[in-house]
Amino acid sequence: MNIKSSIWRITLGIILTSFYVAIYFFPERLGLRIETPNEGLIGFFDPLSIWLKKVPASQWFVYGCIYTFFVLTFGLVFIIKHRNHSYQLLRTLSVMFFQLSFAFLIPEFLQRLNYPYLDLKNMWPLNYYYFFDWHLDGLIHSGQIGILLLSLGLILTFIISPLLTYKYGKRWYCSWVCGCGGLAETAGDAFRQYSNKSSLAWKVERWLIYPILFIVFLMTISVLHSYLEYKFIFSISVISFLLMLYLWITYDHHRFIGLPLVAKKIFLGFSLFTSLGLMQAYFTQWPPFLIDPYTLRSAYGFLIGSLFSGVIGVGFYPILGNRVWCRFGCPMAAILGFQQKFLSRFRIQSNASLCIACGNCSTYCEMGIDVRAYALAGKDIKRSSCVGCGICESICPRGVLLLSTTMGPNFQNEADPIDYLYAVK
Amino acid sequence: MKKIVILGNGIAGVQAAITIRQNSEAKILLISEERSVFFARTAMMYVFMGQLSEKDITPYPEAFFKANQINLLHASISSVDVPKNILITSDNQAIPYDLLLIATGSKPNIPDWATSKCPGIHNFYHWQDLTSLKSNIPASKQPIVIGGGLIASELVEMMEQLNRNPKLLVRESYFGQHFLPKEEGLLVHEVFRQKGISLFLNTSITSLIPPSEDGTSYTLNTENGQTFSTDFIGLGTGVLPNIDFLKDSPLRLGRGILVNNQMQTNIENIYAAGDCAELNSCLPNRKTIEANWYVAKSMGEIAGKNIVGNPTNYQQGIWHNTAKFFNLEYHLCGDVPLKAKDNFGSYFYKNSKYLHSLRLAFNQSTNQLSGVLSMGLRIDYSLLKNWLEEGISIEMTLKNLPSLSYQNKLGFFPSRNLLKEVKYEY
Repeated sequence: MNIKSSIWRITLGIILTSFYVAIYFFPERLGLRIETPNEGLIGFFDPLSIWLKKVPASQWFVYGCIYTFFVLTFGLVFIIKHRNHSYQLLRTLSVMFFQLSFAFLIPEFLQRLNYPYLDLKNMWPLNYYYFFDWHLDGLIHSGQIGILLLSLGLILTFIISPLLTYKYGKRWYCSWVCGCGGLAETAGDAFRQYSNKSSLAWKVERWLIYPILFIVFLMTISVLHSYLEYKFIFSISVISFLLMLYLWITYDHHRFIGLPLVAKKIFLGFSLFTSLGLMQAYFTQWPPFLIDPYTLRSAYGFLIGSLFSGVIGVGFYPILGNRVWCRFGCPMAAILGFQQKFLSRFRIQSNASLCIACGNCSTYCEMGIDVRAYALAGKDIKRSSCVGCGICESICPRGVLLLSTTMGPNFQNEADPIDYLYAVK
Repeated sequence: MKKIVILGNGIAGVQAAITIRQNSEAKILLISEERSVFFARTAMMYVFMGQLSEKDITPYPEAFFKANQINLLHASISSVDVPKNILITSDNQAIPYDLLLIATGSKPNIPDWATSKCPGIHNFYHWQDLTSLKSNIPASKQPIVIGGGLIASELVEMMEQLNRNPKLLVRESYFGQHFLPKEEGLLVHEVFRQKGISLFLNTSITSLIPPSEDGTSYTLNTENGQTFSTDFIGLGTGVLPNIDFLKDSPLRLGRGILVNNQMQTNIENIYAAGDCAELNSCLPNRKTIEANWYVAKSMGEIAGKNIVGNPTNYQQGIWHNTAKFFNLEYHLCGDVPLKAKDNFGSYFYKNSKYLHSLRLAFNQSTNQLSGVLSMGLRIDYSLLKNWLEEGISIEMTLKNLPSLSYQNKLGFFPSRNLLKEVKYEY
C-alpha cells in the first residue's frame, strides 16, 4: 500500500516537473512557433487567446489558462468537501475569484488594451520584477492608468498589506488572495499531508526563506540604484531604513522576544553588507556589491523565479507537500511571516484540556507545523509560516483549535518553543 | 538512584513519565504489553479509515523517549510481588522497582452472552484489534454493532465508510442514554439516519447461537423476541478496569485499584492512575471511576508529581468531555442533568436540519449556571470553566452568550432569542 502510493507520488511528481521544465525552458516542445502558427498544446489555445486579446497564444497564456482551470475545478471539489465550514467555503471562493479576475482576466484585458500585463495583487517581492526598469517604464509610459496601477501596487505593498497582516495575519494574502496559495489550496489539497513535520525541516525552512528575501532585497536595490537618478538620496534612505529596523528589533525586547540572537546578528551583518555596497557604489564607478544588476536579476529569475517557484514549487507537490515554495522559498511569505509573528494579532488558540493527541492537525498542516505538539503543551500557535488555511481547526475532532485575532488578557508572545516541543528538558 | 517503573504506556503512564522526568533524574521504565511506543488510542479509527497513518497517531517518537531517558519495554506482566518489590513477567523474569505506578487502563467489557473465544466477536480497544478489524470488516456481509456509546458509533462509522450496511443494536430507548438527554440523543439518531445506519432501539441481547460447523452466520436473540443473523459482531459495550493480574496481590481493590487523592494505593510505594484507578471518595454527581482520556492525563500528571515527592492532590474539578459521532461533535462542560430533575431548568436550542444544539442547564433555586452541553457547536471551555467556578447566573450567561462560541465568526452560533426555556421530555 505504502510502496504503491510512493510510486504513484513520484511518478506524478516527475510528470508535473517535466511539464514545468517544458513550459519554462522548452516551450517549442509544447508547440510554440515563432514564424509559423502554433501547434500542439499551445496551438490548441490559439483561438481562445485570439478571442481574448487578438494575438496567438504564448506558453504563458497556456499556463495561465491551465492554472486557472485547476484552481477553479479543484476549488469546487474543495468546497464540496468542506461545505460545512463557512471559513473554508469563503476562503476558497476568494482564491477562485482572485485567480480568475486579478491573475487571469484583468491582465489579459490590460494587454488587449495595450497596457502592460499586470497582476495587481502580485506584490513585491513575490513579483520580483516590480521594481525592474522595464516594468516601471512600462507603467510610467502608459499614461494615467499606468501611473494609477503603479501607485496602487505601491500602496498595496507598503500600506494595505502591513495593515491587513496586523489585523488578520498573513492568511489574508497567502490563503485568501495569492495565486501560488490558490493553486496549493485547491489542486494541491490532496498533497497537504506530505509536508515534512520534523524540526530539521523547520530549520531548513528558516535557513532558506530569509536568505532568499535578502537576495531579492539586494537585487531590487541594485536595479533601482542603476535606474534612479537620485542615487545618493536612495542609498541614504535604504541605509537608514535598515538601521532603524535593526535598532527596533534590538531594543523593543517586549515585542521581539521570540527573535533569536543569531537572527539579529545576521540581520546586522546583512545591513552592514548592504550599506557598504551602496557606499562603495557612491565612491567608485562599480555597481553596488560589485555585481552587474542585470547579471544578478537574470540569475535570480532563473534560479528562484523559474526553477524554485515554478518547477520545484509545483512539480514537487506530491513529494514535499503542496506548499513547497510558500514554505521554503517565497520572500513575500518571509516578510508577511515576520509581521505575523511579531506585528500581528493573529494566532491559533489551543485548549490543551480537550486535546486527544490524535494528530489530524499536524498531519494535515501543509506548512509542516507540528500543531499537536503545541496543543499538547497547552501553547497557542504563533508561527511565521502559518498561512491560516484553518484546516487544523476544521479537522480537529474535539474543538481544540481556533484561528483567532483577539489578544486575550494572558496572551504573551513567547519564544518559539522549538526545543521545548521536542524534548522535556 | 530510584528506579520508577510505570506499568502501562497509555496517556496516564506517559503523562506521568514526562512529569517525573521534568522534576527528577530518577530511572524510568515504561512497560507495555500492547505496543512499545505510546499512541493515541482515541485516533485508532482514523488509522482504520486511512485518514491517518500509524506514525501520525504516535505523538512522541521513539527518539523523544530516548532523549529523555525514559526506557521502554514491550512485555507482559503476570503479577506483582509486593513484599519483594518486583514485577513478574509472563516468561518469569523479575523486574525490580522502588516505586511502581500502575496505569494499565481498561479492558473491554464482554457481556455475559458473549464469550471472547468466538471468532466472530470483535472489540475495538487494543492496538491488536485494529489489525483484526482491518482484515475482518471488509469481508463482513451483515455486520452488527452492539452498544450505545462512542466506540459503537466509531465501529459503525468504520463499517459505513466501507459500505458494509451495519446494524446498530442499542439496549436503551435512545442512543447515548447514559450521557445525553433525549433531545440530543435524537440528534445523533438523525446523523445515523442520514448515513443510512439501521438503528434498533430497546434491543437487549439474551443469547448468541454460534454458526453450525460449515457456516459463518451467528444468530442473536433479543429480549423482545427478535433474532438477528450476522457474520460480524462489534462490541461497544463499555470498559472495565484492567486489573485481573492484581487479584492475588495485597493491593486493595474495588472495581478498580483504590487510591487516595494523591493517587497512592494502600501500599506506600505503589501508585495507580487512569482508567484502572478508583478514587476512595468523589464529589456528589461524579463517579469514583471516570474512564476518560482527559481524566487519565490529569491523573497521570498528579501521580508523577507525588512520585517525585511533590505532594499534590487530584481534584475532580468541573467535568468536561468531548466526542464526535460521524460529523457531529459533542461538547459537555459542567453538570447537565440527563432527565428532568428537581431544581434544575434548562435553556435549549436545537436545529435538526443543521445538526446543532445548545443546552444551558441551571439551578433554579440559586439561578446559577450548572453546565453547558452542545452538539455541532464549539464552546469556549476555558471561559466556561471560569464562569462555572465563579458561579455565574443564568441571566449573565444568556447576556454574554456570543462569547461562549469557540468558532470562527463566519460560522453560526445561536443568539439569545433562539434559546427557549424548556422542560426535559421526561
